[in-house]
Amino acid sequence: MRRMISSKKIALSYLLPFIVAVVGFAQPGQAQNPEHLIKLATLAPDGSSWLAAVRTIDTQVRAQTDGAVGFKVYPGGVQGDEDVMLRKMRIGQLHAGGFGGQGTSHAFADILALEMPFLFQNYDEVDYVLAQMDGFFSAGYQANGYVLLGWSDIGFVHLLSKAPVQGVSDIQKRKVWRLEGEPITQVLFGKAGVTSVPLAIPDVLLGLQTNLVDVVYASPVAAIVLQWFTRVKYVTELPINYSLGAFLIDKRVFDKLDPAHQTILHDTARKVMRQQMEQSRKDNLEAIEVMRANGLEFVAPDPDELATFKQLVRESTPELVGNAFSTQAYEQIQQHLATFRANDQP
Amino acid sequence: MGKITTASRLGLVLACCLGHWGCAGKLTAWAAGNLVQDVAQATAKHDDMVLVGRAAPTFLLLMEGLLESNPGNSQLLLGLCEGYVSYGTLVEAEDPQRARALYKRAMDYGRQALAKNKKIGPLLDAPYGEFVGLEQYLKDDQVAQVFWAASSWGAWISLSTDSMAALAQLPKVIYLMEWILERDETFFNGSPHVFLGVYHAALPPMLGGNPEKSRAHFERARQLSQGQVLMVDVQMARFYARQIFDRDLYVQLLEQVVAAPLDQPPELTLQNTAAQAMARKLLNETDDFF
Repeated sequence: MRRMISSKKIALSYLLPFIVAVVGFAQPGQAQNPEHLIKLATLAPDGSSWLAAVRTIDTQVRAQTDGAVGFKVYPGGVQGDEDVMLRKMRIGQLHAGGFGGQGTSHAFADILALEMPFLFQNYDEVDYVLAQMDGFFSAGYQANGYVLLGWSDIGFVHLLSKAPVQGVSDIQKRKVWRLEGEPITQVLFGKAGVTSVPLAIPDVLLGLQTNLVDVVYASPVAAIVLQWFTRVKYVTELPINYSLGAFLIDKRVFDKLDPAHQTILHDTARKVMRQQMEQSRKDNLEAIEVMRANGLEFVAPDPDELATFKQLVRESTPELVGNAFSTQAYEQIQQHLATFRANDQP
Repeated sequence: MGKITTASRLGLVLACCLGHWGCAGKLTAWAAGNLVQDVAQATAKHDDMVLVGRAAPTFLLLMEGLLESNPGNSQLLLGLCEGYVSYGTLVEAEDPQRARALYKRAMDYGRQALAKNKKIGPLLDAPYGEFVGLEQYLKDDQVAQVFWAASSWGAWISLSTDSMAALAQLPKVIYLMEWILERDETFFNGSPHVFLGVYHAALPPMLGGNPEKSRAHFERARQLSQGQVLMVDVQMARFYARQIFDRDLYVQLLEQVVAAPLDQPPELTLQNTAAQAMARKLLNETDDFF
């Protein structure tokens, strides 16, 4: 299970604020075109907190660069899915992207090492490791032609099901959804002897309605935005894996900016994206409470089953390390986590 | 969402309010008289949105006054729900916070009207699985009640996207709109289709959107309204054409609206005037979108 929406991912975190029909003329006409107009696409819809963050960055950067640098934003996936966005960046049709899990890891596969099941126990660990690994991930993106302008938080993925799931043996009896083309789940389910049904995200809701699948996984916010919570009865109280997105700009475009403007853009984006991350975390907490209020039952994992589950992940790890992501990324993350946990002990 | 006809409706507000007024139970004789109906018709035929928009709050307050002396009157509740959601769409572009409060008020009236059936009331806030049980209690003649309750509910959600609790209510609104389609898809010139057309185009497929369904709903709405309701094409341009990133379609739909007659039939003058104003604004912003 794992990476729900994370991998092929969608940008769940920001989806939250999606809007159904905003009436107002949402897009404020962007004043004058700056000398460097950065074309940015994202799946996040207008009206979402992610879009609001990007517009804040745009406003601040325009002001601080005397209008020399600004964004033109294509929200709501109008430029295609995340792989298409990456392709358009390569040929120069787009200059930047706000990505969910798919684009984030397709631009640099080592990101997947952060999304291993049971890697993180809480956000303190996430924040520590992201800070320690910032140089590593920034360099990885640079080598692939991108500059990292900030992370976004999709959240911890949970299991949602029609019958209670307390462990691997419960899952083995069920029809479990798997995100098409996502490597970690594929390996893990194979090891666990789970019957998985690969579906694209847009087909999952119908899959639940027609009982094609009866176990799915998603971040709490995603479970609400995608409406999956209306078709399940149980949530397993077990954060399986952490999932994140990234704000990336084409390095060729970034390099053309005046060095002072590069600093302004980079620092502003990092700061605002960090604030947005805090908001996403609050939204995920609220989403859990909303699911409770909507009658979903939260079931605790069985301790023995959990041990089995973790063992399966350990068995799957060798197949993934050096394939889905680099050994170096995996080992560095493990090392930082060990350091953090050692220092965190009373 | 509720905003389907958006600004155009504002104008309609007045017309609608007056219309319901006429029916309200023990209202005074003048209210039930021809004058009210005449004013309602004149309003719909009016071509000055500003004038009508300024008059609307007066009528909303009057209706609330009438509700004081006729508590629970279904026609008044319906008129107030419809009136407030329509007036909210007028206010939204300038002051979303205020519009959100207006939609909330509209939604409260709409839910109050539905909750007059004691079986339905508790289901409105129940988990989705129980909520859908209200189908057995809804009657076919409640289409208008359901439509305005769902429209105001959806409008409120669309301005409350920072609240997970609000977003979690969206499936109920969609359920209600689909219930209406099964009973009377022609309601309010096919407005439930416009609502669903907007809904399916508001998100990319990866987040649950469905451009094909969106297009089908818009095309059906155009067919049902015989192309006379210009807001159908405006919303199709704004939501569907943008979602599929089809600049040619966007411009073509909006230019058709700008060139269309406003007063055919005369009863649509007010809302078509609003639609045309919006189409001009959207055309001017074409380069911002594409």
